[in-house]
Amino acid sequence: MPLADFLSKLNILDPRKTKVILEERENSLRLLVDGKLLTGLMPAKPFPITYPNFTIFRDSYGVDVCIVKNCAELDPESKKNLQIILDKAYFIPIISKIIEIETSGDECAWETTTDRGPAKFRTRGRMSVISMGNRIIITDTNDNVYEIEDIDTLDARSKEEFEATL
Amino acid sequence: MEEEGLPEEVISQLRTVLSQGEEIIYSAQSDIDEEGKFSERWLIITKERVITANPTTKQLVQVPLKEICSASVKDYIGNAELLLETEKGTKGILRFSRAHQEDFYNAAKLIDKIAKKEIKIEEIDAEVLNNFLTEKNDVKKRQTLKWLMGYLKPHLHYVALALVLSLSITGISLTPPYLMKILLDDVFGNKNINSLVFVVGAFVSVYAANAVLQASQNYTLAYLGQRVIYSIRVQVYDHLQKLSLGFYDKMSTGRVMSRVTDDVGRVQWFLTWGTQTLVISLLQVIGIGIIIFSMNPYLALFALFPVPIIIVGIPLFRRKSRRAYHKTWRKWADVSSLLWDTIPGMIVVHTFTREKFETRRLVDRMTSYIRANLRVTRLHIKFFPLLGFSLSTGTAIIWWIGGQEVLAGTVTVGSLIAFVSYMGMFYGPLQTISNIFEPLQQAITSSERILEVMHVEPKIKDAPDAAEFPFKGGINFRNVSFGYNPYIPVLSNIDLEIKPGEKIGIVGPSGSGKTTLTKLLLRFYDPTDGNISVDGVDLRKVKTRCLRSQMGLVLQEPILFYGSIAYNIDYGKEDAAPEEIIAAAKAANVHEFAMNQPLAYDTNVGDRGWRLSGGERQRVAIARAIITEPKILILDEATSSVDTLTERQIQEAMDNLAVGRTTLIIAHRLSTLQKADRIIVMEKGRIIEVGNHDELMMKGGLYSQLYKAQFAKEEMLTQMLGR
Repeated sequence: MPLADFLSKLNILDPRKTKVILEERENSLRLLVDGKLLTGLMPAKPFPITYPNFTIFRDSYGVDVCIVKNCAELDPESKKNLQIILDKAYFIPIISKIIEIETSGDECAWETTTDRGPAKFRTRGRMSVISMGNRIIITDTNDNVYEIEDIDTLDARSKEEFEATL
Repeated sequence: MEEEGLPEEVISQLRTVLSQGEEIIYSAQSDIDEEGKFSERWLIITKERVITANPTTKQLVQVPLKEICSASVKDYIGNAELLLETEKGTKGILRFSRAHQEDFYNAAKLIDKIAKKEIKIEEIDAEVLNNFLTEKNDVKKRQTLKWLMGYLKPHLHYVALALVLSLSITGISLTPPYLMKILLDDVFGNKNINSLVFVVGAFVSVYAANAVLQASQNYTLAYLGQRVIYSIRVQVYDHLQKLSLGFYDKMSTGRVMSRVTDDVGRVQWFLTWGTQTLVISLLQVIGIGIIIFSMNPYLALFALFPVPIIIVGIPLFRRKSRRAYHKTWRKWADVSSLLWDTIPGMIVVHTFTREKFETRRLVDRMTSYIRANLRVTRLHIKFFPLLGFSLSTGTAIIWWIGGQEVLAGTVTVGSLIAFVSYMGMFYGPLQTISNIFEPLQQAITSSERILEVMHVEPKIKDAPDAAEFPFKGGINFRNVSFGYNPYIPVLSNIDLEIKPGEKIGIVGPSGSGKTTLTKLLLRFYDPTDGNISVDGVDLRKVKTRCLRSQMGLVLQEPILFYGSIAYNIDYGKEDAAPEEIIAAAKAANVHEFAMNQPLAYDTNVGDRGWRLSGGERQRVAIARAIITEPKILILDEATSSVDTLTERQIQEAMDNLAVGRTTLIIAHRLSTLQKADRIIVMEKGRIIEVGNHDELMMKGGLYSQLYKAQFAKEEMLTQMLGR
């Protein structure tokens, strides 16, 4: 079967014609697309690192219903509603300061300040810190994810601490 | 008569039998004589006969070409024999060790083709013979050193800077003893406070300059080394990417890797620190030699007393210690291989309660390792104290003789102390020079090993007139024969025509040539005989990139790379959009498990995909094939190493993939091939049956036997489970 057949089944929506509405209990979303209402949807990010705005909307059984390729193109209200649900599902603290990275063997113990408050965590192995240009994604030993949005914008001491270790 | 390469004795032997104008078309040297002993023996093929000649025993055997029905080589252990079949029967005419097998396989092939009239004698010319010549590895051997220096060329200014810095450091290091002489004789002797300030100031300046120059030299050499190592590694890796799979069949992964890592490291050391150290040490020896001989030639002669011990003793020690170090290395390899073996296999150790046994094994190996290490230590304590003692004795002799001269007033105290200091500095570089030759030799050997790889030419190359075109998917094998060793056929006379969009199942016992057939289709190798075409165009006339980009391959053991799931899927299509990745993943049943990973498609799969299960890896590999939208698809035992449920998921993924494409499916489980348009049954490198499932079952041949055997086994299992 050609790939196009599978592509056509993905149901990719135009973000400009899509409204994201919060359900009453604020635990799922409704989508208004061309006058049609899709209810009980949960957003999921298939590429939380490489395409963070690419969102799949799934029903309560976990079946994919539709896709918005770039949620940044949604209207501000929709974006806000989407973010409320995503915030719970995707807790990725942004590191603003690295106080210390202590290494022992294959492990690193991090002491950091993030946009969600101070965080101490441990990473293990080279897979745990992935550089994507200046962006750094860190997965700790419990599979929690942290992000440094741009290593160059960190203060000099934090940057030195990072570069001296990793 | 073509006598090139034949020894004089053989030529004179031949003159006794060859007729006027009889042309030699092929000759090859063997290393086993008629008695089965190592000795020179020759095979000569002329346009009229096959001759064997032994220049030592003068024995000569000849068989007229017209009497020969066929020729072949029979392989034995450690040697092989060239056999000629005539009407009187088969005769072994020459034996040879495996070192010469290629020459004689070629000879057998040539004689065989002439005997079977596939080649007409009158048409034999240089071009025809070219197909039977053994490929010698006489590639343009650029001089190793010249090749290495080529890497320094773009950085000559850094080389020059490093040399200037080295010379300056050498020069500066010679001044402190002289300043000491001034201090002792002029400053202390004359009690001159002004001079003291000057001398101390000079000392500080010299040490400061030395520190700055040393730092600059270190950085320059490190920079130079990194640039050079970068260029060599990139060039070697780039070359490795271009080499055909045949190269990797012959050279193990470990050997290739060690060339890129260890050997390049040694070359870097040679090009930077090695050569610089050698140059500096030589300059120091010359410089200090001149200084001490001009200061006091009589004393200088005594200073040479320990020199023979350094020049002779150090290389001698190194030779002995190398063996000892090598033993230590081997013993350590024993320990580490045991760890590599047992720790991943701990489940087996525990199951068979062999914990104590394994600990004992480690204790034994560790004991040997300790013994080997102590041996090195013993060697050291035998040599270095002796060396140290002789150097000290040399100094004591100078103190004794020089001291007498000071007492006699012919030499000043300052001069004697400066002399002794220079002497100490003289022995250092001498030791360095004695030490450096072995690593230098190792570095040159490493360069040769790298060059050996760089000289290998890719066997699969695009012809200048190779074309690019979109495939419809028609495939034609015409009388195709092939062997990884060109003389041992794996495929023989394969004739097969596949229509665009046709689904072909390939079955047969292990080693029947199924996978080889697909490797030829992907042009990982070229057939030894015959040709393969896609849409009527010979594969050799299609650009390799165009060919492989329109083919999808899913292997039994899928190979994934370190990176995310998304990276591994879009490996097949560099600029794939995220929705294409998801579409391909859905087609391959990857989507659900990918979405359950911590970072979904961005989750790293680990080295070679170890974080995923076998079935998951397989499905990612299928998604990777789907995303390229191949026109021709090859599925090689893609479901044979997974359980039934996973097989179903993979089967579904493969069915999605196969629709509308020419598909070749190699499968052990024959039930998966029932939907195939045609099934090809292979045995011993030949196609023995062709037809669809029903036709082949009716025929009652190998396929029906295999199918019934498998069906009976499955039936039995079902019954057993049912009970």
